[in-house]
Amino acid sequence: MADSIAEVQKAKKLYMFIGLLLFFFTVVTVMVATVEALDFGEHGFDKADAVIGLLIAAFKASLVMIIFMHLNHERPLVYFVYILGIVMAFFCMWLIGWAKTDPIQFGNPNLNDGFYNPDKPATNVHGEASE
Amino acid sequence: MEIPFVVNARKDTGLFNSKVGIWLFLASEVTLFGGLFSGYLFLRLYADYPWPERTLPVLPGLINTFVLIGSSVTVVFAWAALKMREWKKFQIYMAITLLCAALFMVLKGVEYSAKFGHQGVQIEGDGPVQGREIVEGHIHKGMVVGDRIVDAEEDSVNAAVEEQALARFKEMMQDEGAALVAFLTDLQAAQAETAKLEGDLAKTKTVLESKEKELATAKETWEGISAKDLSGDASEKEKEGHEKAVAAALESYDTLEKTVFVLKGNIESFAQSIPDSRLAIRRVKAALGGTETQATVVPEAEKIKDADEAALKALAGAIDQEKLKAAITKDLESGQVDLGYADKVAFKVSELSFVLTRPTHDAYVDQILSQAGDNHTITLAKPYRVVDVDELAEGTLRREELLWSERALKAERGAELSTDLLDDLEGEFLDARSYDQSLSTEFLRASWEWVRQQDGFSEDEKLATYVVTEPIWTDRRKEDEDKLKQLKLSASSSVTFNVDPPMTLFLDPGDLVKFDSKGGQLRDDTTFSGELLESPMIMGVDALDFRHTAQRAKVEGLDPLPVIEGTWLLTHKAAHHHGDAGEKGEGGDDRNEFRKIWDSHMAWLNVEEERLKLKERTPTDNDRFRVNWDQILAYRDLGYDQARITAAALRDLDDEVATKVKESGKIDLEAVANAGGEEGERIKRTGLFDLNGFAGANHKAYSFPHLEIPREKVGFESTFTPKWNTYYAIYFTITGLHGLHVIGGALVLGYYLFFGRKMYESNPEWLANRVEIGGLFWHFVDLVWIFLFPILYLM
Repeated sequence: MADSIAEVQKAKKLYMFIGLLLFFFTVVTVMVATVEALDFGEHGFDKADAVIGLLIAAFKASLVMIIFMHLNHERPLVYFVYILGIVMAFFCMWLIGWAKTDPIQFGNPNLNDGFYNPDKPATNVHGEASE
Repeated sequence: MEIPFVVNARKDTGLFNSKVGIWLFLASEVTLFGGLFSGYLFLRLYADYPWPERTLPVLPGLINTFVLIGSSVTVVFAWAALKMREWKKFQIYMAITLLCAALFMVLKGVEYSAKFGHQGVQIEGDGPVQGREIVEGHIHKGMVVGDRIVDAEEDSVNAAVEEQALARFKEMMQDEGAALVAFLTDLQAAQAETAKLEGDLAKTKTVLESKEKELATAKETWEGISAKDLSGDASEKEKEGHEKAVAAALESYDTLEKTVFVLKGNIESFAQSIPDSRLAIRRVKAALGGTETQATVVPEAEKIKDADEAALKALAGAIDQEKLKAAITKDLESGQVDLGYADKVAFKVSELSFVLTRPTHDAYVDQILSQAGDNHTITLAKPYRVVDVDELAEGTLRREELLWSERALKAERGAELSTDLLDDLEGEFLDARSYDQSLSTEFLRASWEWVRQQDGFSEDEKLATYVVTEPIWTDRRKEDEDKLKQLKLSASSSVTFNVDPPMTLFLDPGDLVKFDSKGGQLRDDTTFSGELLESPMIMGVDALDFRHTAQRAKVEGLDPLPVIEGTWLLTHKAAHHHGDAGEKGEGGDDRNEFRKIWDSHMAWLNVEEERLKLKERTPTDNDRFRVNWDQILAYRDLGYDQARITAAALRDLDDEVATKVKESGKIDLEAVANAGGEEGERIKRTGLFDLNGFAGANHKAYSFPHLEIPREKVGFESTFTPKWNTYYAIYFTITGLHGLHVIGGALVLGYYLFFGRKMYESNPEWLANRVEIGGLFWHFVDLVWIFLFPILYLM
């Protein structure tokens, strides 16, 4: 934590640099998506673009967190709280994924007034028979 | 109460308390947005329609990214300024941060409003994949007046009606003028004829008079001559002379007599002709409207015949205001000038049915009544009768008699529709229903009580699960039902009204749950029957999207291209009642404009495919099956000419690449060589930085192809809001929530800026800590956007 005036003065240069770096990587993200020479993988959007785009975004987000939000010198309690949040976020993601494996689904044509009908085979959202 | 450790750190945590607070809050925020990002991920992975990838205009998102990153820098600078006790600098940096927040929200507003004003329509087709072609664009709002669409404001509608009615009036008056002139010609001819006949008659009479005198003289002469006695002393010669004189006198007498006879005959025939001629005059005059009007009509008719618009307008005012009004009314009534709403569905409604089981929506009733006006009556089709409960309690009459008693009549046949009437009947119905329901409950309870008295059903649990399938219970319930049928009031749950004469009802498509050619249903379950009038959805189209068609075709194992080419959009005959011209085929070209766009797109795609092949790549479905607004404009600029488009697409390439593409054998080189058009034409597609397409297709800057979709072809329509698809659902959810964070953060930071001076003077470190906390939240808002931008705009 930059507390002394000298340290704050020094940190300002770093903030400026990080700001410019974030601008730069924003431009890179757009170029990767729009300039054909920088289009990796298949033509147009594909997994490679998704991975690259998210990696750049994650890198930019890390810069914001580490430098602007001072996570580079923070107390352990803050890390604990923050990591807890991220774990919870992934838990949410898992929860939705888990819900997707449920045979009783929204949009199931075999559901009668929202109740599962055991006489009819369950289907997934695409109307295909599921296990 | 004083909050501890807001300035200095607590010993055990090493943090001042507010920082622990904000981090706990941010952790919950991470979870919240993490959940929403998961939502996005799963919606995208499980989408059963082509996900609209890279669909948003990038520039606003890019600017907003810069704005938020910039504000993150300034907010941390503001904090540093406080740490160094530089109040002025703090103010400046914080003010810039707030301006950034405002700019962000303005740009977001621009983007949102573009989505709200932009329409997608999935067209319902037949064929193997039910069409599923999508057109995007702007729906024409306002009113259709004849062949034009105008703003739905009284002045502009009136002006358009008057203009069109006047054009018709002009036509009519010009016809009338021509007829008048023809009448006048007849009149003049008849008058001339009469005058001539009368002149002849007078002349003949004079001649006759003189001839009659001559005749009398001749008679005297002849008598005188013949009375002379020449028997004795007269010589032979004298006798001979005398006989000759007598014969001559006789002859002249005869001739004169004949002449007189002929003249008399002539006079007689003139006398007969003249009335005929006068009759002709009278007839023409009668047709012209009498002798008095003749004098004014004659010159007016001449004027009408060749009048121009302005003169005609003046004339219409001068001659006959009533006639003009009559002409306009007649035009409107006979449908010569169509009057309707461009964005509404029109029905000829003869019957309306309101459902009493739920409150009817008074706004719909009011709307129907105001549209009916004074010219249509909406009356109850049959009396609404329900046995009066009080009368039933009195028990003097049987139920059947009660139903026909005066108190059972709640509304008479022919009662006029009103919200009050519906409210009354609704009350009656609900009372009757609750009476019926309590009867049913009583019977159920009694039967339940009874069955419990029967052998073998003493235990409650056993009873509940077991008895309902037993014959003893089902038989009893059947008996109950038979009895109830006699006892229930069974009030009718709907009331039907007749519309006389059938009225034209304009309805907002959003108010209709469903409809077909025979009628429809409103959102409050009100149904109406009649006839769907031609009321197409009228759009300026800025994108064609066949990705869903192609996707479904592939699932069905079909080649997408023929399926696309068979869709309604590409095969329909251009209706073209309203709007700008340019869609009609020329020189035997019977393709509609959208087929021309598609064929142009295929020409471009051909070059694109070959170009990508050189890099061992293929176009995406987005490239193939979607024609964007800038492409539509580019193709139109090149006259939808495939050869010109191919030539222009080749010019867009580097020379080396172009040569290789030409050598591929897929390009019709001869056609390209003879392509025509202007020298050096290229396909001008808008790049990232075209401000005209800042937030999407700009319908003010460009005019787009005009499409009329018959109502029955409109499968699904929506603006680009959550209703349209899950992409926009998640887009609005996440960006909306993020926008609220921007506003909330800006309010907090604004409070520090505008009300922080006092704290700065008393305890600057405390304010610095507060700004750090606010800044942490602000960085988090930036951080969320850093992910949102690529996910929503670039992927």
